[in-house]
This record gives sequence, C-alpha cells and structure tokens, in this order.
Amino acid sequence: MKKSSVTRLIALAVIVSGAPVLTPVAAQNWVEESVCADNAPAVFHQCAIEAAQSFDPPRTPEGQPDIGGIWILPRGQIGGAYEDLEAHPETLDDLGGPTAVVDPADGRVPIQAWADARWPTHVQRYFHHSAACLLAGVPNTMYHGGQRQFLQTPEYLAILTYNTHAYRIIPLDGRPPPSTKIRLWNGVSRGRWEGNTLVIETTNQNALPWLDQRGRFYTDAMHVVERLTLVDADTLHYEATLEDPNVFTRPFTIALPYRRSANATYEIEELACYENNEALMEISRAAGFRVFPGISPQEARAAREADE
Amino acid sequence: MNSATPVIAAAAALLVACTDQAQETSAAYSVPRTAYGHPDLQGIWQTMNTAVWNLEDHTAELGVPAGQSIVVGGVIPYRPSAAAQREENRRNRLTADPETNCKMVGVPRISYMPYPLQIVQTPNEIAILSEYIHTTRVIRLDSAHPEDPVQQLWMGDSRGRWEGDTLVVDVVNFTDQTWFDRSGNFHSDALHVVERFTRAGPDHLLYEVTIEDPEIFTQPWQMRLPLYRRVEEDARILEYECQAYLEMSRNQ
Repeated sequence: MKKSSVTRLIALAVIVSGAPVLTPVAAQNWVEESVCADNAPAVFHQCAIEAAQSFDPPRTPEGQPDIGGIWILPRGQIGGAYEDLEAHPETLDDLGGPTAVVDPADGRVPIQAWADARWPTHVQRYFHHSAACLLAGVPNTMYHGGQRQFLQTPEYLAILTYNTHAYRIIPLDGRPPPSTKIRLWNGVSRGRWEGNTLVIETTNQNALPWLDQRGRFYTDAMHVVERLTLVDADTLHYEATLEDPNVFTRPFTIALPYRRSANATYEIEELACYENNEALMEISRAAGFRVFPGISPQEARAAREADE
Repeated sequence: MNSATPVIAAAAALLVACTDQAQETSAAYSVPRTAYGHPDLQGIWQTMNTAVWNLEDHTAELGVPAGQSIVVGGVIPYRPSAAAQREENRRNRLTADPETNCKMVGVPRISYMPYPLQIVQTPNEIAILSEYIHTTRVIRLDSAHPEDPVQQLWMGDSRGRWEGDTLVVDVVNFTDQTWFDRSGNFHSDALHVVERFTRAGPDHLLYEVTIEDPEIFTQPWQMRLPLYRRVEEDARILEYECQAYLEMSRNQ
C-alpha cells in the first residue's frame, strides 16, 4: 500500500476514532441561545471578552464561578481546530472551519521557518496521536473529538473527555509543578481563579502529541496558559496562549466557544479506543508508521541555526 | 438490565460479617462530609497488598511477592469447568493477561492495581481516575443502568447510591475480556459487581466487593481490603501510558 493512501486511511481513522460516531445524535445538541452565538472563533472571542465583563456567573457553594457540566465544541467535535488550527476548507477529509488563532490577528500560527517546513512531513511518517489512541496533550485535549465533562470541587477541576477517555486533574491549591524530569503526555496543570476566570498553566509536557491533524508540533519547553470564563450560564469562553520559543516566533492565542449540552443528564460513553484498534495499527505499522519521537529543544535550536 | 436488587438479596447473608464491621468502623469514626452533605471520599488512594498478582493466598515466586487472600473465606468458588479455564489462564498469563497487553483491566481490578486512584465528587457523580492508562470511571448517583446499552463496557456501567456513610456502587454490562488479577482469575460478561466504599478513618477507605457471575462461580463471593490515602503533601496522579510505551518499543 502506498503511503499516500495509508495517510488517507489514517486521516479517516483519526476522524473515526475521534468522532462521536457511537454517540447518540441527541448528544450533539447544545444550548444555542447565547449572548455570543457566533461560533467563528475571532467573532466569538471579541464578543466574549465584552460579555464577560458584565456577567455575574452562577457560583458554587464556596463562591467560585460554577463551570461544572457537559460542554460541547460546535464543529470542533471532529472539525475546526482539531483538523487544522488555521482556516481550512471543507474537503472529503475535513469538515473545515475558520482559524482558531485570534492572536496574531492574521489568524496564522507564528511558526519559525524551519518548523514550518518540518511539520507537513510528519503525517507521512508518524501516527497522529489520536489514530494510535494516545493522549492528545494540552491544549489539543481541549478541542479534540467528543464532549467534555467538568467536575468542579473547591480543590480541583477534573476534565473528563470522550476521546481515548482522557482526563485532566487540575489542582487549584497553588502547588508548584514537579521538576522537569517528570514529563507527561498531558503535562502538569495547575489552576487559579483570577476574578471570574479560571487560569490554568501547563508545563512538563512530553511534546509527543501534535496541535492538530496537520502535524504541527512543539517541544517540551511548551508553556500553555488557558483561560476559562463564563460569558453566560451556558457559554464558556476558552482561550489558550501557547509559548514555545523553540518552534514559534512569538506566543500565540487560540479561542473557542464551549457550549453547554442541551441534555443536562448526558453521559459520556466509554470509548475503548486502544482496545479496539489493533487491526488498523497493524496496517499502519506495516506501512512504516511509528509513534512521533518528538523534537527536543536542542534539535529545534540546531535546525533553526542551520536554517538561518 | 436493572439487575441491582437480586444479587443484593442473594448476597445479603455473605455481606453480614463485612457490613457489621463497616458499621462498627463508621460508628467509631465521624466521617467528614462535603458542603452538600455527602460523606467525603475524596483524595488520592492506593492499595498495599498483593491482590493484583493473585487474589488468593499465594507463595512467592520470582518477581511475585507472597500474599494473603483478600477473598472473604479465602477461596473463590469456581464451577469445575471454570476452574480449568482459570488454570489455563494462569499458564498463559504472560501473554493473555489484559494488563500485559496494556488494556483496561475492569472493575474491581482497577481498584487494586499498583497505581494511585483519585476520587473526585460532585453532588451527582463520583469520578474514580486511575493513573493506569488514564482509566476513567464515572459513577452516576441515584440513576438506573441503561435498559438497552449500545455496547459492552471494559469498565462496566456504574451506578451509585449512599447507604448511610457507605457509597454502594452497582456495576453491570461488562465485557468478558478482563481478568481479576495477573494469575488468571476471570469472569464472564454476566459479571455483576457491587462495591462498597466506607471511610474507616482519616486516611483509610474500607473497600468491599461482592462478585456475582453464575456462569463462572457457584455462588456470590466477596473481596475485602483497605485503600490507603497517599499522604505525601504533593501527591498527584501522574501517567502510566502503557500502550504508548508498548508502541514506542516497536520503534526501536
């Protein structure tokens, strides 16, 4: 089998494994009424910033804004940023969508030249993390396929997801991260409330997952700051600022609307991704695909210097 | 498939000893509660026994510490044909154990794997999040098992309720793909599990499990073991992404 056709197969598999194909259609419904109803990230982002200023959110008994519940990304279920952080058209493989990048204003990922040349080759050689049922990293975990459930306590925010049944546990007690000798697929996150916004910092990533299906990558120096703010009772403004001087020319920010599930009792189903994936993996391995080994900061610096 | 009640009746006699002990424990210890009044089971917990190697009494072998049974009464009541399958499983354990293949290990095995669990509670659900391949359980409180489940589940379908200070979890709709331990103790997809979580002190949970599977066992049986709090100040769940390491080992 030619690699190009396998690539298509993988892309299809990514869509299938990341898609809520086993999920009842009703699950896809979200509360459409919103002070910021436009789902285009740039439009939503501007609206959300203004709307949040005058919104007094519902609160937990302890007084934190209550962000618990089931959240859905319109289009982001399998399309949008998950496919490509930047604007991309609808095709046989893609649902397409506008760029998720809101800063810089041109909607482009500010990537260094050597890295821009490198990432398109990745999908020819390496599994997309979702195709191999691996964890998606931060922020990809927040816009890959399926619903998310937020369980909020005074001490933690737990984020449960459909895709590969990944979860994040975010302590809110201000504890520092462990040393960088500990590297995790989803990194180490810590949160704090700044007014009505939950600010989550994530470090200690192993940088093996990609930012999208296109193969955009980062190094383990990645520092992510996410900001979650309710703009009305059923709409959450999700922002993530990504900083990795090894790959990007400057920090950049993506923004996405999270909309509350219309079904308050919706239950995220078990997706036994890896357990049911062996046949596809054998085909992919036979075609030479491997787990992305990552690019170290040293490798990145050497590649940049060679490029300059 | 609302099968919760029959087994509770069937297992009632067996449960008496454990339940009595649980009640004694809770009488002696005032269980902390959440802001909404539920007993607070939250924290990072881990077992400290050899059940993951073998639920029953066993002598040490190379790489396997000796251990005492967590099975109440000591012995699992297999039907004769199932006992033969258990022996075959044991012979093939190095390749056939789902854990060796980095797959989800089911309930209750996830509770006594050598990885920590974090319990997160809200008024409506309780999540049990394991470090082992990010296994996620969400126990919905006061809700029924789906009548027409669309698929069998590696971790089963868990529904919980509070009985006094004890969280009682009824779990059904399993696959037949998981084992109870590394020595080949197993079940069919008729498995029905009832778990009881009780705070036994500031740093201990009493974990009691009733196993019912008439295709494999002659009668319901129980496990009983403590879960210990990870008291380190910076205790946190990390990752054991077994399948990722397995796949990466093919890169070499």
